[in-house]
Parts: sequence; structure tokens; C-alpha cells
Amino acid sequence: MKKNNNGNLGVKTKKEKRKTWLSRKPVLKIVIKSLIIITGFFLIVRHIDAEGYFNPDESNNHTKKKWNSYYDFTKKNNVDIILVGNSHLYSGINPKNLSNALGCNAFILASPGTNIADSYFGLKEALKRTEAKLIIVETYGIRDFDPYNLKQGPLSSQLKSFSARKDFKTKIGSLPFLFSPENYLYAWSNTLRNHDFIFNDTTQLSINKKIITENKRKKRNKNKLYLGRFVRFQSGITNELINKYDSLGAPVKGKEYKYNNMTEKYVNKIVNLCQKEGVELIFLTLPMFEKHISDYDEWEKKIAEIIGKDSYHWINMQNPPGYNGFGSFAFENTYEENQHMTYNGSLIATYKLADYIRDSLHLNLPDRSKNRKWKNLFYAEEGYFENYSPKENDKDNFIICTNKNLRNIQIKSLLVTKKKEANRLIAKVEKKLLNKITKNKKIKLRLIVKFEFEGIEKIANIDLTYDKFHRSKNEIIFTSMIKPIVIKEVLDGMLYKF
Amino acid sequence: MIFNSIEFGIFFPLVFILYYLFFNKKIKLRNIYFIVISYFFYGWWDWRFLSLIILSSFVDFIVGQKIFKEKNDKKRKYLLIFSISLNIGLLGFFKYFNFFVDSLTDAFSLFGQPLNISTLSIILPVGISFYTFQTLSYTLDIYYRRLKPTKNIFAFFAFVSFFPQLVAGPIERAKDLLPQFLTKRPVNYELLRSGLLLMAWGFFKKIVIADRLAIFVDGAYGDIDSIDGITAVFAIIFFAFQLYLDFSAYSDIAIGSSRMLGFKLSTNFRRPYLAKSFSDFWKRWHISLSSWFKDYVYIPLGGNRVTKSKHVKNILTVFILSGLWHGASWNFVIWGSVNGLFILLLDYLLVSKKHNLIRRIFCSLFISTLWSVSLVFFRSQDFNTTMSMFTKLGIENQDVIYNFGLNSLEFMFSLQLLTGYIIFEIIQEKFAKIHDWFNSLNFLLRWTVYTSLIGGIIFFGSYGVGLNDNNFIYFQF
Repeated sequence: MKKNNNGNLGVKTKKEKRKTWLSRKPVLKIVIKSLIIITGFFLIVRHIDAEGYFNPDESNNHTKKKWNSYYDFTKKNNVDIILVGNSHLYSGINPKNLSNALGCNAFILASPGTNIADSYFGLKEALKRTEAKLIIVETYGIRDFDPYNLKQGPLSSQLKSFSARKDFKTKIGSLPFLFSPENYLYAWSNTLRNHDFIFNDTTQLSINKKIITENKRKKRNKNKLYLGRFVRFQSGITNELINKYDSLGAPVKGKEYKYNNMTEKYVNKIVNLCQKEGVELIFLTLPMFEKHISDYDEWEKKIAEIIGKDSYHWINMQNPPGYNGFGSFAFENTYEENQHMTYNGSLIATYKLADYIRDSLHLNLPDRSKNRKWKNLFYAEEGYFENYSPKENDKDNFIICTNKNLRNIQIKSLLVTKKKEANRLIAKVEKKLLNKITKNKKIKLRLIVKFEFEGIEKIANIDLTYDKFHRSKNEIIFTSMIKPIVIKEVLDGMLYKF
Repeated sequence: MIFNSIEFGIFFPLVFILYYLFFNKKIKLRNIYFIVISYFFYGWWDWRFLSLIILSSFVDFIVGQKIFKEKNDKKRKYLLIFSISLNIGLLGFFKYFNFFVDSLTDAFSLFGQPLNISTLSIILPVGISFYTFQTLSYTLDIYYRRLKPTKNIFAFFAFVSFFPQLVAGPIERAKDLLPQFLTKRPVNYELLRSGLLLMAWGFFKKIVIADRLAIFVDGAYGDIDSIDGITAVFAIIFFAFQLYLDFSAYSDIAIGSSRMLGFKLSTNFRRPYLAKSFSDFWKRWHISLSSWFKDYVYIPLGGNRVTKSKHVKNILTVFILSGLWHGASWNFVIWGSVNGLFILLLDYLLVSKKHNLIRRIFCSLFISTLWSVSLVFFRSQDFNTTMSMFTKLGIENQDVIYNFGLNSLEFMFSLQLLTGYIIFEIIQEKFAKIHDWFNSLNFLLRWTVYTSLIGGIIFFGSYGVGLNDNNFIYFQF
């Protein structure tokens, strides 16, 4: 018998057996060792990605925020309406107001600067987590694009959008359609993509380190309801810009609008996806200022070609009658091609959309407004009190009176809601009582009230203006911001024109 | 497909695993497998040009056998001429047609006779210069009765198209590589490990150093009007290192990946910037091409066993052809000629039997400096750019050096990398057994080197969005 390495006759230790076996299989040995190194680096990179050391400037990453919120929201709730598109959508529609107006859950899954392919894959992932009844696709993203040749800004936006999604299967399936091969790794890892921060953006690296340390210290506030809205613009178009339109013409030329095969392909994919899932689909065009675009009919014609206007619902707010109601206040003050809506503009668009869904679509949307869970979720959120009443035991938001007859009108309810800086007085009047008057919206509701302020009781007039931004199904709303007074009684009042 | 791409990152492991799982048992099956994957590798760039490789392989396979069987010298010569005409004809058409047309029209215009011949928009097939020279060497070796032709068509086609060295060398001789396709290729762990390490080293050189230098060089040459003297100096030095590291990295990856499949390719670089003379430099730089020209051009012309004037002519011929091999432009012709002149005029100053460290350092610096300067012809697109670069050397410092893609931090890092690399080469030159020493290190130290290489590539590599077009420089030849 031959001696082995340990000098034992013929008896091999386990370790020796393993060693002999592996050394007879050099290929397996190199594969195992390579896999160990690859796995090690994969875990390191994954960890750095999770920590976020090489994240780009995320001070404004609402794409990630909204997807995180969507995953959280859909753990316990069903989303009834999903809206997809780009920045036009999330600055043009307010999902809280839409949800409140319809008594359901609406969520915006829009990413800035992205295209219809990104919307499709986002939608595909979103539908896995919820049983939506309605999909709304905003049409600004339906345009000429090539996902494989994206450069800088659009690529960065698409990477952000891809990175924000979490479903591995959908992501890996969408990868070859959204990116060219050289960007595959970057789509998965900010560390690989932005490792050059080490040399070229040490400031961002320091900021990220600081954010990571701070995040570890403080707990995030996850309870706040976030449905994908991103308010960017408060003030509307100035006279200077209107003069510029008059002198230079519209910055957006409808004639120059283009779409390609890729656009059609992904619109069709969205249509097929909705059919497969049994979800209603509508297209929505949010407006730009009327002077911001020339030859809109050319643009409109091409959009109609792609979406097949006879087959699908299309709410086009760029053209009358949809356009009615949007003044210069409703649009971002910019001469840049990409013009968004202001907060007030978005409210008008939101309620127009809500009216359309409620009155024209005849969709079997669930009415969750009676549901306690839904009420808890949306209570006191934007648009809630315009549509519903405060809880009985709420000390901050409460009804002052109901069905109060004034000199020339009856108010259905009068309520006070507490705001940060001042309180808001909301008076609701039956629509049918006001139909004729509201054609001329220059009306005010004057209330004569007895109130207490700083311990002193007084009587005074409060003028409430017609709220052209909020609409509910059956009521017209008058509103006014007031000091934190305690209204004891509404003595009288009237509607008047000015 | 290029080595530093995601596609290759998927392709090679798959090829490797499939090879050892299914295709390494039988020689014929293995060779067919290599032909298929090599054609796939090449066709990934443009499948239409596969026809050229197939044509060239087929013609040389047949012609090689015919030359070998033929007893009549005249007929043998005709057959050789046929093979050379076809191969050089294809190369000439795809690479030099427009150059000759342009040169001809320029020449006629110079004498006041404008000639109206239009150029064609011809795509240069990747690697055509490499595989053409490889197949030519096969036919020439048979003609000179140095080699017997193979009757195994699969082995021959696999030899011509072997993917690791197909598009940028090393240009293998049939006597070295072809027999490997006729026998089983046993592998052991050491071979696989060293192959993988060589590949990692190649990727490190390419991605971490060469591509970083490329940013500065491209920036400076792309905005030549804005550079000052010091920037020009660094652009020239950096390009010399970029070219060396880029090309030697390709060779390392080619040799490493071949080794992992059980094949041995020849060494292509041997620390050229530590050369003792210009002729020594060419024994260290792109060795497979230099030796090709030596064996198939220089020696058939008589080499140095001729009169002095003929010897000079022979050397200049080889270098001019070498310049033209690199690219179809007068700049390459000048670059080749200049390097020929360096050997003819300066080598006698450098060659000495005395071993002296100072002298050695001076020689290496002197050779590297002149080589770097000659590369201005190589890097510039045209003669005017070359002249602009030389003119800029005289412009005083304007503090613009960090305006060409590398900020101060990255610029200093590049310098540190180059210093480290030079020290490493000096150690390699001094201690021939450094690889054995490395292998004898304990597990922890060896793995530290492996992980440092990969970590270096991941965290310090010059890659990213917008930086993905870093083809290997020699792809264009």
C-alpha cells in the first residue's frame, strides 16, 4: 500500500479526498473560484447600491418616491385608476382630488422625461400588484423615440424609472427593450454607473454619505399619503410671456410632431395589455397654453392616427370644448417646448377628468367613499372636504350649519377646515340652484356671521368666492380663507354679482 | 464583438462552459465548435464580412495543398501569386482603394491635370489586416517548403478564424497555431488560472489606464487649437502609453482567453519602452507583426546580407509597408519611414556592449521619447493636425491642462497609475521569475491581487454612460 501525504497507509482524510477530486477537475475548480469572486463583488456592489453611495442627485427623485409609495399603498389597498405618462401628467393631474371626487383610489405612475415604452413596462409591473378598473395614458409621451439611443437627460430619466421599479421579472424582461446592451449594467446599479463620482463628483459623494448617515438615524415618515403628485409650478403665465408669444410665435409647432414605429408598437402593447387584463383604457391629453402651440390640429391628427380615436376614449383638453376653463393662470411661465400645468391648472384638469369618468365613461368604479378604511386614508387630504363632510368628533374640521336659507339662496352645508396658516371656510350650494347664475362666474357669497375672536364676540360679513378649481358631483363650492375665528351662527347672507 | 463589452462578458463564459461540457472530447467537433463561435463573434459586428474570411480561408486551404503537390516551380509561383493577389486584393480594395484614388487625384492636380475619379464609401472589415497576414503566412510557408499543408479543413478554418486573435492578433504562424487544432488540448488548473489572471490584467490595463488616458488624448487632439505646450507634451506621452496599454491589453486578453481554452498564442509585447535600441524596440513591440515583416519581406529582400545601400532600402521598405499596414494614409507612411530612419540613423549610437544602468535608462528614455513623438503622425488624422501638435509644443503654459476631460484629481491618478505601471515593468524586466514568485505566494496574498484587480476595474475603471465606445485602437487596422 502506498502512503498518503499524512503518512497513513491507504487511508485518505476527507479533506484529501476532496482535494484530489477537485484537482482532477481543473475546469470546475476555476469555475467555482471565479463564481466565489464574482459573487463577492456582486454582494459588495449590491450593498453599496442599497446604501446609495453612488446615487445621482436624489433631492428631487419623485420617481423613486412614487414607486416606493405605490408598493406600500398596494400592500393594503387596491388602486382603481392608474395614470401613466411623464412630467406633464404628474404636474397636470392631482390624484388626491381625483380619488376624492370619484370615491376611489387613483395613483399616478409617471416618470419625468420618459417615453411610452417606459410607461408600458411600468404599467405592466403596476398591474401585477392591483386590480385596476381604469388606465389613463397621457399622450405627451406618445412621440418619436428610440429607447436604444437615449442620451444624457432622457437616458438618466429612464434609468431612474427603471431603477425605481422593484419587480425583478418585469425588470429583466423590459431591459432589452428599454436600453442598449452597454447600459444594461448601469440600469441595475448606480455604483457601476456613477463610480466616477470618485473623481468627478466628490461633492455628490459627500452628500450621499451624509444622507446615508442621517437616514440611519431618523425614521422615515411612511404614513403620509403620496399618490404620485408632484407640484412644481404655482404661478401662471405673465404678460411678458404673452408678448413673447405674440412677437415670436408658438415655441411648439404641431406640424413638427412625429411618431415612429416604436411609438405605435408600445401604444398597441398598452392597448393589448389593458384588453388582456380587462381594464378600461382612456387616453388623456393635458393642455399647453393655447398660444404655446401652433397648428395643433396637425398634432391632434397624428395622435388620433396612433390611438385610433374611434376605438378608444380620448379626452383631449387641448382643444375646445375640453380646453374651456384653462386661462393663463393654468400654465407654467415658460417659453421652453415642454410646458407644464400649474397647481390651479391641474385642479381644473383633474375635475374635468373626474366629470368625464363619472358622467361619460359609465365605468363600474367601486364607490369607496362609504368605506371606513378609505375614509381614514383620504380624510382631510386635498379635495376631501370639497366632496365629503368632516367627521363628527373632529375639532379642527367641522360643519357650522346645514341647509341654511339665505336671502336668495340656500347653502347645503358650511364648514371650516383647519389649515396651517389660516382656516378655510367652505360653503356648498346645490348645483341645480345655481345653474343659471354660474354661467357668469363673477359671483360671490356673502355671509353675515356672529363669531368670537380673542374672547370677543362680533358680527361681520365674510365674502366667499366662487371656487372655479374645485367641483363636486352635485354642489358648487364657495370658499374663503379666514383667521382662526369661532363662528357661532350664520345670521344671513346672499349671492351677489360683482 | 469587442472584449470590453457586456456581450463578451456573456459570450466568453458561455463558450468556455459549453466547450468543456460538450466539445473538447473530439477534435473535429471542437474545431467545428470554434469555427461556429468564432464566426458568431465576428458576425456580431457585421455578418456580411464573414464571407471574406470564408473566401480567404477556402482559397488558401486549396492553394496551399496545390502548391505542396506541384513539382513545377513556375506553377507553384503562379499559385502563390494567385493567393497573394486575392488576399492583398481584398485588403487593398477594402483598406486602400480610397487612399490610392485620393493620392492619384492629388498627384494629377499637382501637375495641373485634374482627375475626376470618385471614391467609394467602403467599410473597412474589422481585423482584415490581421487574418489576411495570417492566411498569407500559411501559403508562403508552404511555398518556401517550411510547412506541410493540412488536409483537415475544419482545423484550417478554425486556425484562420480563432476568435481570441481574429480581429487584432497576435498574427499567428500556421506552424505554431495550426498543429494545436490537430491535437487534443489538455488543460490543467495552472493554465486556466494564469489565463484568467492574464485576461483580468488585460482588462485592468485597458479599462483603468488606457481608456482613462484616452479621455485626455482625445480631448487634446479634438481641440488642438486650445492646448498649450505642457498639454501637448502630456497628450503625446499619454498617447504613447495609451497605444501600448490598449494593444498589449488586447493581446493579453486574447492570449489569456486562448489559454483558458487550451491554446497557446505567441507573445506580442515584451516591455518595449525598456528597449535598449530601436531594433530592440521592434523585437518587443507588436512582435507578431514585426517578425512577419522580417520573415516574409525583409529576409526575402536580402535582409542585411546585401550591400549597405540595399540594406537601407530593405529597412525603409519594411517600415513603409508596416506604416501602410496600419492605415491608409500618408501619415502612416511618414510614421513608418520615421521609425525606419530611427533604426538606420540612431541605433549605432545606442548599441553598446557596456552594461551601465545610467546608459540603459538614457537609452530607454531616448527611444521612448522619439517613439512618442513619431506617434503624433500615427494619432493625427492628417498632416495638418500633426503639424499643429508640433507647433503647440512651443506654446507657453496657459493653465489649461485640466480642460481636456481629466480634472486635477483624475489627472494625478493617471500619472500615479503610469508610474506604478512603469515600476511594475521594470521589476518584470529585472526579475524574470516574478510569475513563479507570485504563484508561490500564499492564498491570501494571491487573492488580494485578484480582488484588487477586479475591484480596481469596477471602482476605478474608465467606463460609464457615454464612455462605452472605447474600441481597441488596433481594431481599425
